[in-house]
Amino acid sequence: MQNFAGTLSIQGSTSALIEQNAILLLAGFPDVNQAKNAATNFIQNVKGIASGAAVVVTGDASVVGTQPVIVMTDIH
Amino acid sequence: MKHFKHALMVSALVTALGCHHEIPIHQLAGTPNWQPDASHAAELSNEEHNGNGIEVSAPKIYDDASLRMMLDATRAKLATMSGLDQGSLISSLGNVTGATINQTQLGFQVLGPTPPATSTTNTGATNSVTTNGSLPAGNTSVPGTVTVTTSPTESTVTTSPSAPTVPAVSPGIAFTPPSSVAPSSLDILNEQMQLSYEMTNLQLLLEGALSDRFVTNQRLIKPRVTLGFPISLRAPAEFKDAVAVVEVEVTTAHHNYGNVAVPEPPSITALLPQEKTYNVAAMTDHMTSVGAGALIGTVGVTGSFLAGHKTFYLVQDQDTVAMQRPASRDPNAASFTWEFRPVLGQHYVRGGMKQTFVQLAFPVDENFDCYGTVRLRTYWRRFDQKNGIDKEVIPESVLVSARTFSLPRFDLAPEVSGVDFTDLGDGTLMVHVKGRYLAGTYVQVGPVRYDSGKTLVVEDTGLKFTVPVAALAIWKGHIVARSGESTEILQPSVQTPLRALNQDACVGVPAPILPADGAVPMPLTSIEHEVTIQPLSESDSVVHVEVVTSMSSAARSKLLLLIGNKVFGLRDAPIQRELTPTGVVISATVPTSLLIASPSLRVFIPFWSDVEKPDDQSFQASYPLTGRFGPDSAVEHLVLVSIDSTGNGAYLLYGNDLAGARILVPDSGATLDAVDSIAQDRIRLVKITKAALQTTKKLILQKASEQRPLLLDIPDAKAVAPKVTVDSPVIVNTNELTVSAEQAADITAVMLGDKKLQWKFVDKGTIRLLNLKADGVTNEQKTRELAVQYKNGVKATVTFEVVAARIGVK
Repeated sequence: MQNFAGTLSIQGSTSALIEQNAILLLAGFPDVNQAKNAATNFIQNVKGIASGAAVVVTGDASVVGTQPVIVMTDIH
Repeated sequence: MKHFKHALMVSALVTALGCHHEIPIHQLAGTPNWQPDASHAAELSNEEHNGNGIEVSAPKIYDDASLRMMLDATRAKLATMSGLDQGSLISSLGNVTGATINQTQLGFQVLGPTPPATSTTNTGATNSVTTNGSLPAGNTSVPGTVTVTTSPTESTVTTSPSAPTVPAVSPGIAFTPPSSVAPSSLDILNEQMQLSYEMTNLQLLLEGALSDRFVTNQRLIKPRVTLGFPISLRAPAEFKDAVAVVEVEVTTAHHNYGNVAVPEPPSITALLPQEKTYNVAAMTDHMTSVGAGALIGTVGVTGSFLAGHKTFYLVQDQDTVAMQRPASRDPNAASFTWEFRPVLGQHYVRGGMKQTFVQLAFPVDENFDCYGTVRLRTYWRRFDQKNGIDKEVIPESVLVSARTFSLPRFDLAPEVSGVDFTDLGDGTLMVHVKGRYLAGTYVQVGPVRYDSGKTLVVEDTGLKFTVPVAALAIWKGHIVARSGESTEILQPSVQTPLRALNQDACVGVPAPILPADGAVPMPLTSIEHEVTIQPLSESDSVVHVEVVTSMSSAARSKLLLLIGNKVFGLRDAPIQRELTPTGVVISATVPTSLLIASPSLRVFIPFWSDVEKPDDQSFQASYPLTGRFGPDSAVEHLVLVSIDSTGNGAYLLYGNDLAGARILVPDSGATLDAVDSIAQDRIRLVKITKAALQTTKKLILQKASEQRPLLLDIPDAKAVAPKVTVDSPVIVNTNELTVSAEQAADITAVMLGDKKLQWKFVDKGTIRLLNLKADGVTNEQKTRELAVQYKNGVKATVTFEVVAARIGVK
């Protein structure tokens, strides 16, 4: 598990960490699309973090197809 | 002899023939916007010279439920049709069912020369007059005029006989068959029965066979999949008078329910199109006509012979034909073909895009992500168009697809990518479920279904519908696909995780790797401490709920309170939310009767929890109030028990949390006691003196110190008058009368108006009136009303009739 610091970007149901060029997925959701939606939902509604905020994401970096992702377990 | 045959065709291909001169083309240099593409040219050339002109793309997977619905609709419509028509059967009774016409015509004519003809012409007699002029005078011998008459003449002309001509061939005799020839009723019935049977056959075909649906020796129903094959046809010149064939071989997935000893290939339940035809009207006309004439000397002779045969009929030219191939070498595989034939007299198959479909049933678990594999072959086969006969395969044209295609199973369960809602202010919410949904998707909340075009708005970005928040508080919403698969309407982060798909497993592609760490726990929500319920008025209470949660402040400010079937927190029933470092305190004014009827409460945010489960979840917490309220709980109120003879009142106080209650008003003359040995929580005895009752109309009760007091109505303490009766009517001048009176011992006076009457006590229920005649009570026939006065001031009245005589027995 690593920490990734960066700027949060939220567009629609997709959240990304700009510096890592990685889409954020919520851990525990094997389906990529559901994990992506869940991550955005978690960030916005549970954590109350808005797009553009400087955040630290806890999780694992991975790749889905050719797209870098971070499977996150927490965000601050 | 004349012999011709022609066909009416839908279209015709005009081939222009002429001199063909090839002009050498140099490689174009291109323009600023266009460049030579040698590699693509080589690719096209390779396609041209090494391909067979038949291209089949990867099979497309269609929604089987959709095809099923369409086939079912067709079958249902077919079921409503009947091939039998009573009208036509009855009307055909007695029809002339046929006519036989034998016609023989033989013509023969002989013409001889015409005989000689004689004509005589008579000129008739003629007269001429001659005048003699210059006669001497006196002449008498010579007349002045002389008339000469010429005798008539006659001439005769004889015509020579002429040569004969060849007589004309006589036309055939017109013969018209009877126009009323028609099939008989029995023939029509037979034909209609054939049509009915054919309809039944088609219905069975559309319904599908059970053997195609069930796995052998199992009770498992095979999942079905509908495949589409986009086929692109180009007929190379060498494949003249040939049919293009696309052969599909489908193999069941390695993991299946088929018996190892008797493997089970996929069942072909429908092939579309099975046959695609053109109707062609063909007309043939065979006519033989012989006629001859001759001149023999002076005689002309002629003869004729006519024989004819005409046929007009419809034929079907088959463009596409589906066929099942014999069992493959692979016992788990099924094979079928589509043939595309040249039609309408053309020598080449018409080029362009074709689309074919097949519905298959696989003996595999419906949760497998792939059903099997597909392999494609294409080739050409010689074709005898005149007779519609397939001939030999052109071996050089046979090609097989380099790639084996997987047949994936698509998860049609709708996906909810987010949920928003808007408070409409009347206890309803406008819900926006984000996502992209197929046509036919609907929403179900409890017993209510929201359909597209009615109560459900379908947009590109999702679905919108209006729902009472009370329904969302007790039922989960579902998005239901037309296939019946459904998804709970929940925020994505609290949804049940979906498993990753592996749709290429059938062709050996490993599943995509995605780290699947443990689920991120959502912030728990719980109700801490005791829920406080304070009386606000006789009918309302204020409920304070302290919620502890680590959810964001934005989320905390969305918490709603559910009591009974009433949701508090929207604009129609506002609540106060006071954010605290650990959560939020919710305060709501609630009808006390609602708390008593439904002694529990729940805090929740719509679409964040499974509201059908009572347990605490993220964004949901319940709290029982059963200890606070019970079946004997009631809204606080007083009930009059009695007013004693001195005017003091006794009341029962019903309510809740009464054990520590005290009376604030009246500040004296009122006591709060226990009722026997019953617990004092929900019933107390209130005694109020006559003096206090005379000055106080409301009782102010405080259930606990520092609580808002309750204002309770004191029921009217006026004593009810005892019952007093007289045996009426009373006869005039009766002097004494017995009166039945309750509490007779407490009677102080009996009055007729202002006049005090004489009476005496008989027993506790009876008194006797005296001296009535003298006191003017019974001295006349009249209705009398007497007032009976009691010690406590209560007056009872009794009315009776004074009559002359009593008639009958009462």
